[in-house]
Amino acid sequence: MTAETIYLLSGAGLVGLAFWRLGTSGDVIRRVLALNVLAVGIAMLLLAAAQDPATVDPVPQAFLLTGIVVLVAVTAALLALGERIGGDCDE
Amino acid sequence: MSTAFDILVALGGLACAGIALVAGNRIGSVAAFVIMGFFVALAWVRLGAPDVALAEAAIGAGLTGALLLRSANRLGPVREAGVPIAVHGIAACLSLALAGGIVWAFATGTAEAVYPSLVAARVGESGVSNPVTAVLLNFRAWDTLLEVAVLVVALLLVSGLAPVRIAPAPPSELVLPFLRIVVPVAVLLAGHLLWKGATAPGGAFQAAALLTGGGLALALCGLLGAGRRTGHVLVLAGLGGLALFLAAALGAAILTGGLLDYPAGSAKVWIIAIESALTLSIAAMLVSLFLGPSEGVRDDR
Amino acid sequence: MIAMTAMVGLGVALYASGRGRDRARGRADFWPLWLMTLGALNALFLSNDLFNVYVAFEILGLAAVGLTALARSLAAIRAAFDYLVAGLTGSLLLLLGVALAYAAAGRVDLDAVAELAQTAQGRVALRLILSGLAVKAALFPLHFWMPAAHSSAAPAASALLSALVVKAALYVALRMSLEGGVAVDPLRAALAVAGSGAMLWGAWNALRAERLKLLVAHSTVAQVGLIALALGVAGTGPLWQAAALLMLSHALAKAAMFLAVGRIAEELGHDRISGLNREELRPGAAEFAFAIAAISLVGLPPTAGFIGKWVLLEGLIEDGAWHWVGLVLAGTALSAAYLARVVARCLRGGPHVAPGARRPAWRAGDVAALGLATAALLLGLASALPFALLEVGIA
Repeated sequence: MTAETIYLLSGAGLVGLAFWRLGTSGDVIRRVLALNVLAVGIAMLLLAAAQDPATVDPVPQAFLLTGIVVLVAVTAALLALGERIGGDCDE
Repeated sequence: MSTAFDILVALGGLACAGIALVAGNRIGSVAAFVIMGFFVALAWVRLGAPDVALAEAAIGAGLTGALLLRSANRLGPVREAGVPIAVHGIAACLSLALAGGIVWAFATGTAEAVYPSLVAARVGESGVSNPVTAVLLNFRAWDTLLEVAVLVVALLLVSGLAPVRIAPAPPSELVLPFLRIVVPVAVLLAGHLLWKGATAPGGAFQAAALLTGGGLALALCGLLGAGRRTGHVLVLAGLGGLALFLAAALGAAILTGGLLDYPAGSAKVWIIAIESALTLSIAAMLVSLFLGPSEGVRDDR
Repeated sequence: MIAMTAMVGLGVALYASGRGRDRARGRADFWPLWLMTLGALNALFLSNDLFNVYVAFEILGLAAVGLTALARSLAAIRAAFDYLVAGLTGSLLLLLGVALAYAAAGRVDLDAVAELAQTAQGRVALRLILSGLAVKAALFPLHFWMPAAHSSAAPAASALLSALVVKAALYVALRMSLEGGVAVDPLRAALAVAGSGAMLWGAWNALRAERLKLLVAHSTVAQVGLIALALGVAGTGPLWQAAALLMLSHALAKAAMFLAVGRIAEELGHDRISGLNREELRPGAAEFAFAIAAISLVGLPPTAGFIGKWVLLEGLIEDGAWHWVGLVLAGTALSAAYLARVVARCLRGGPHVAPGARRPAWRAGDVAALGLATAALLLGLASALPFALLEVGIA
């Protein structure tokens, strides 16, 4: 079992977990956490898939750096909104 | 040996994610999320992506964790409306199917990536030798420009919204000496990362994350001057970064005829200048994203 | 598309600047968000790379959420939160698709779509990207967040959201469908089915809506469905031009409609449909603009909506695809029905109106709504122009 396969599996696991929580939870922080886990899972998948023992592929890494900064911006916005409506955002 | 390590890291990350998503205690789940961030950063070092690992540890785990803790404190305990077990079951099945599909698709996708050879062939022209920095600031600088714009929009949104500024805790006797060491070291390290970013892992984003940490430590102890002036300075610094990047893009377009096409030979100077400005402005924006709008600006509410 | 953005943006700006100084509090935040929205749209329409599209969508999504939240009511903030969660989920699906596309094809520019469609992995990637876009475009059954967000925002913001932001995702879908060629036919079929579902569901909800803004928001769900249907059945043939024209005409008409609704609500002090025919107020320019926009949405000649639908139906009849023809006609009839609920009450006169009824005063908002509605009308009369532009665009 190579490192790529292991991390591929764990990335898919993270994505699956995040979607399950997103579908079943109405709590502000849990939703935000689920979205963050989802992004991490996607990043893991991208890196594991681009993994090549011979050469390092810098393009997905640049994608991920962009993605991480974008995500923290959106998270800050989400939490600012979430704090205004209080803990529960179901009907 | 290394396989065992990989498995351990992967399982640790998954377990922490699981705890973060189901724990009833908010602080506990945020803590689990932060630990997951560190596991993930380790995983990425193993996958040969130290740049991303640095950013994930500093921004993904550190800063997001701080934001989440802030909100967790303000929001109080989890209030969860009960969801029928059937919904749980359906969601779980769908997620499992999705995860399975993803594994299959990624594991069997074997296309040769087009970009690495292109990047490798032209990294010499880009003025820096760290390929990740070359991609970010030269080949795909447009993405980075848009990304700074995302930060600006988020800042606009938050500054129109967030409820209260954090009340700084008066620094205790132990904190002050600690800060005296930590903040200058953070600034120094940030500069080091920024400069090293041209040749080794590191760069504007990682440096900005470090500066943000220092800034937050100062602000939380009330040493940054929580007044309206600081808020304005931070926002101006944030906007200034975008403005400078745009100006550089246009300037390069005038000089070479292509947007963000740096003049041959001097690409390194352009990149370093843009990166330095971006470091300061990203750090300023992240700090103000954390702190919310400055007092006195919105006394109308 | 850029011209469309600029036109609607101008109209909205006119409206917003006419809102007077009493709303100064929200205004300071409105302008930067407005600029960012327009900038992100332009970036999106011009980009040829899936990752660029993702980042531009993030700017757009955040700016749109900011616009929604500007109304500052609890309902608006709640809607904004749900909107941002839905939008982020959509973008992350898109990102997942992009990641998979990179694994499967080794590149992420839009030209890679044709290559992606050849392999099974690539098709999974395209499916993920498309579902992300569907969340963003509020395509049935992923539209759950949209009526609340669009109806609780301020009118100027709703006009931008409904007319432009939703179109961005449809535009990317159009680009992908054109690049994909024949191999993405199953995806197109899914788009068409979801589109017809949206058309019927949105129309049904619009028929039952009690508030004017909610009606207009549900009508956006239905119209997005119609456009998606057009995209889905168009294939690579000339029918895609019908879809593009429908997009343009809906953008103009829907912006006019939201602005008109905003003005009507300002004059009446509420926007309940049952209370539209008040005795002491004569119908004004806003009602007139609403009526023109409604005519364009239903697709009566000589508006742009009519030309779009005509080209679409003609092509479908030629192909003998009678079930799609039936669906489009049913959707048209339903939209005529729900818009008639409003227009009939606006076109009151005679005994309903008291002799001394006051006329609503003219505001910049009226001018903007009327201007956009007229533009929808003129686009229909001069429809050769957009077709010529589209020919250039594809060449």
